[in-house]
Amino acid sequence: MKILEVRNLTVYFYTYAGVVKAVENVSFDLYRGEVLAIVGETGSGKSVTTRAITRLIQPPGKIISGSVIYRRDGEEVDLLKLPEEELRKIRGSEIAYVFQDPSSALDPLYTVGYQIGETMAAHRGGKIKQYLSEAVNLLRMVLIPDPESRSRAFPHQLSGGMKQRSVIAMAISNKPRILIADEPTTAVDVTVQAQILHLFKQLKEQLGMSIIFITHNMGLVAEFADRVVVMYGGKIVEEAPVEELFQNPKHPYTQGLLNAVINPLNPQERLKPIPGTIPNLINPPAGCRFHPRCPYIIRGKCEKEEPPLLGDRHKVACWLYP
Amino acid sequence: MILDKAADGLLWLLVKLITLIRRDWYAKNKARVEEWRLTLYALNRSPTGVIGLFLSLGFVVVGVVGPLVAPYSYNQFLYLERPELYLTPPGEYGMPLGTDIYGRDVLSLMLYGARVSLVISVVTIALGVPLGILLGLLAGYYGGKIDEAIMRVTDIFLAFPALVLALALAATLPQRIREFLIDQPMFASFMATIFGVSAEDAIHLAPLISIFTALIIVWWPSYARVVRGMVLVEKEKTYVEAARALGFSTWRIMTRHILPNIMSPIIVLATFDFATVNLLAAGLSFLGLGAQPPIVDWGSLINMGGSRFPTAWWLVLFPGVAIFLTALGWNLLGDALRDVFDPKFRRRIEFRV
Repeated sequence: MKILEVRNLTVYFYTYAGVVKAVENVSFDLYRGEVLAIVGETGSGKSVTTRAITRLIQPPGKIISGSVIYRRDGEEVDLLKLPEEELRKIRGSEIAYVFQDPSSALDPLYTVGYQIGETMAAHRGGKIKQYLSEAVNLLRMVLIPDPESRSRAFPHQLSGGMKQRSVIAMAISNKPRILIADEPTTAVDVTVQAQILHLFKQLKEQLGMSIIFITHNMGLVAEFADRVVVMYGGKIVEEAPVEELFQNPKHPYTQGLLNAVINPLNPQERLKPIPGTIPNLINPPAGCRFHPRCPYIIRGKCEKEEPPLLGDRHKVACWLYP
Repeated sequence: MILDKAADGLLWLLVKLITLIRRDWYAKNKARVEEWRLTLYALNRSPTGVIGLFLSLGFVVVGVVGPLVAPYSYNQFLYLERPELYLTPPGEYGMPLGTDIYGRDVLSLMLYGARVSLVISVVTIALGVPLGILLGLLAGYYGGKIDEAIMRVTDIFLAFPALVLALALAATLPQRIREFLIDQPMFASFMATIFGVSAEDAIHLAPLISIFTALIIVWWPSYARVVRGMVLVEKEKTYVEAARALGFSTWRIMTRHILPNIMSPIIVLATFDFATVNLLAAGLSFLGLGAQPPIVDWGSLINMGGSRFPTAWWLVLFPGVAIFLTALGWNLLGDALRDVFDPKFRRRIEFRV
């Protein structure tokens, strides 16, 4: 059952250097209870796409077109057309975010428990104080040792892993239907990474959330995701269930990505980097945006015409698969 | 160190007082009390800061209790009964700091003058600074056209020289304020109380009121600009974005998250400004635009002594020293506060004690 339908989302940034076409014509669905991973290099538009879902794009960025249909209790709302005040009620309560850097996602001046309580009070009304004991329970739920005293600690008194878990506790405090995790494990070390992923899995089971998981770590994708969306240069180039993607990557960019990291399903001897860098999105290459780096380029076609995203369960935007 | 003991005692007293009202407060706020303790310790580590604290606290205390403890009133013209009291040098006829041309006790006049300086600086800071902070927050947070509009108005006000605007207002406003004071006896007696003068002299407060009106008008723009700059930096931080993503209201993000995080530089700036307002107000009074007889402040005392300078040196020296020490005190304190508000500096101290 679809809970979120993103259609033709286009986000531009109006900078002094020119118009950055950060996200163009992106469409994907999110189903109830699934983990959707969005992967791609830095600057491929992953974060912008997910922030645009609840219109968290700040000037000079602007959502040019598209729709985000959110389904709840039988009604459908377009988040991009909702009044700001309505949308504010959805943010943090029905759609919650976990950001990349836990050390700066907490306000340094308030205790962790207070900030979790504040999130609950903002959406359920009432005083922050009355939610403090619930905040302790949430901290226990995200496996923070000694939650009673930790809830009275300031962010600088906690380790990176504990801060990230506190941020997750804040995000899940109102039992959101959709959790958007933007590289939640990038800033923490590997053992903590595993714990946090495990935690996400548990919470997903307990709360029945859908998760959009942004990462550039293919290992985490294989471990955690149900479906994968691969983005390149502000567009979706491939979308497939996770086993399908790892066994049969179709788009040359996805193949390149998988060759550049240790593939957990079929280990190779040498890692191969993708030559070149991500295109400048002020003047993106014509046709397929990957063609300047593509090893299988079809001359006369890829530079001119843009490939459509085609397919049923396994979608790919590439002229190699007509 | 004795000062650290004093700080511990002060905190202990405070905690006791709060526990009287709210039983479990200390257990819940232990971390906060520790932070306060470190803040006080950090202040103790800076000798100039301690001197500044004593000078400025002394000024506040004198300003508050001065008119109450003054041996004579500012409107006791002793000269009328005892002609020998005309311009008595310090120490003679039992007048510790001498008398002025009306035979008034200079010590008492200084104590009354302290109240006038204190009220002017407190009112100017208390009204001007929040106005500046509010406009700065709005401009910085919303950006775009709102920012442009607020900041251009700020620029216009910044372009006014403070002294010239104060002169202009002091020349035009007092008449209207005088009428207002006569029409509104309640307001007049309130003003008389806070300035520590008797109610029948309230109409003579008009020039003083116009001075701090002028000072408020010229004071907010610098704060609006400073706050806007800091908000621009602060609003890009992830916790603000996170707060937005958690669905907090804009007002809450501005007042509960951004403002507290930029508060310490503002407090430091306001501390410095106590000195600046004092100096400016004394300057205006010296020019004859502030306190009008029989009300005095330090500036008008210097003005009175200026024309009789080498002979009546005590009329210039004592108020001059008072102005100097007050300004010095606030500046030293402001300097020390900058260190104290730096959490890293506090941590260094934690490891030394």
